[in-house]
Amino acid sequence: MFLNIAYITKVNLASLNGSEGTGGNITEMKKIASANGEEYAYVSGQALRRYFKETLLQLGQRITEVSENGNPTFRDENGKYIDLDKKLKDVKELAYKKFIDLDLFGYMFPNGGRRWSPVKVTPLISILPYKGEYDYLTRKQKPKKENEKSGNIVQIEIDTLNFMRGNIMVNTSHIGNEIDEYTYDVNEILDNEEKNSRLNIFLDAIKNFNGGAKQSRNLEDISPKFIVIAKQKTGNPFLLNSLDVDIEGNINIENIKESIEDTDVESLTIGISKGIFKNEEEIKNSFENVVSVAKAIEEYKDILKSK
Amino acid sequence: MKVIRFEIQGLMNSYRIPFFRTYHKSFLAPPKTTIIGMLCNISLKSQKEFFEILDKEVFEVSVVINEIKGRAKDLWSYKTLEKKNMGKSVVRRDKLFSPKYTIYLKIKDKKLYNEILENLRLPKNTPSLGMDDELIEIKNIKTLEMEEHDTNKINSIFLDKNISYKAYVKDLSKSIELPTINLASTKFIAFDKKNKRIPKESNKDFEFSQVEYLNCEIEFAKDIESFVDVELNNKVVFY
Repeated sequence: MFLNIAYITKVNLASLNGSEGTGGNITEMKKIASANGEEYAYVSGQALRRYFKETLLQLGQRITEVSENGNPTFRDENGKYIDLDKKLKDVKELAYKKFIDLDLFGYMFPNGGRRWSPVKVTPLISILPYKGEYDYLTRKQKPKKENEKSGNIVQIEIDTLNFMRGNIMVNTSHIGNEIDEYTYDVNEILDNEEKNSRLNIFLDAIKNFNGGAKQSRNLEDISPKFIVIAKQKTGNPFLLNSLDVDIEGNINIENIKESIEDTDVESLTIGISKGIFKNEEEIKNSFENVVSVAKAIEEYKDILKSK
Repeated sequence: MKVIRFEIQGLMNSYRIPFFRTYHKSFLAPPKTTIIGMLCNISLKSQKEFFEILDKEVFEVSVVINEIKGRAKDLWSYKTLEKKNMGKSVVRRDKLFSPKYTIYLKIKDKKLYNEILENLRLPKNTPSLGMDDELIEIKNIKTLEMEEHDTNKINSIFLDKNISYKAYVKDLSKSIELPTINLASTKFIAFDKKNKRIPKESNKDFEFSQVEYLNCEIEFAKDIESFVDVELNNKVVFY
């Protein structure tokens, strides 16, 4: 079974994912250049997965540390780092039980094998074009002479008053199970209760999603303000290109309707936050199951319990 | 000739051209092996089956690039074992924004044909092209009869096998990518003589240049075997 989650979040003022500098005192954001010359801000899938791990940490979950070689690792009861590349098979059960990131987001060890990620995350892409706005900072330097002034202006690209859309696919049958990618053999590591609780925690992370670059200065909330959640037997992310918002703040209803009509799902819920979108009432009247974002996410908790 | 036709649309996709190490340039369209890999993945076929399918040449594909809305450059920082540069390296990676393709499949084996058709309709895994998280949406799956057509003009990508051709721009008001040639392998060596999995290598005897373009039509200098999809007005070659 799969959970297909498409969402829109709102950005007031942020520089969520930095890009390579062009030289000089400019810090760029990652952007897409469209064929007609407009630019759209985007946050890479890798960055979002990192933000998810940080949100899970805030929710009290344990995530692995990173070794000098860049591999995930954790400490044993004596405080010693375990070389998972060599020792994973000895500590697999412990690793899956204690460290949510190894289970949900997979891993790759040159010698210890790899795990496909049950959670797949697309980049977060702005719906409206980047307006070319900057934030300005001053970087002070010690002047050479006492009466001289010093201070370099630094420009930071920022995206303002924009909507961003993203998608998450969760292959729930892979949570807590080790899957052999050559044969598709399943080794069940967590019991149903534990798998269910893990999925619930991940759903909580979506509800409380936060993170991004330059958070100490531009604290941004990237939690969903509009969400479509579908429970489906197949893995097709049919909502991948369905969410759109116009310049007035109206969500495009027809695109979503068309995508839903063409697809066979077991259940579907829409969640919307108050006071963000202009056509909020129209959305509530256009679809069957429209609730708040938090309620929509809650509806999909405990779905692995009865299995 | 009976074929399966389906459309795919991604969000941000990248199909790495081999040989570029720190800058991962992307093909405009997924190579044949990438498409077959995706089909095997949504059908839960093992890696061994995937390489066998490539070896036996059971599939022929054809790809029409319908649209690519834009491009981006992604940066990917990763840790290295080397101590220089504080053990950190950056890879630059070309990304295509919202690419749309129409894909045609000719499958010799009837059982496999039915299996692929069923799994396109009900994928058993999340379909992705490029890297694992570069998801795609599969839609408008259809089976159709395709007939050979009598001109030498096509609008699908093709493999360069030393036939001269000319390119004509279809619509000057839309974005254009003129024909580009990039080497793509259609078979790999992935198992040793004892049938043990080894790091995959391109099979040099099956390396061809993939010619890809956007918003153009190609006219070959001599007769080639091509087929027409009357409904979508696509004239395609299989490889």
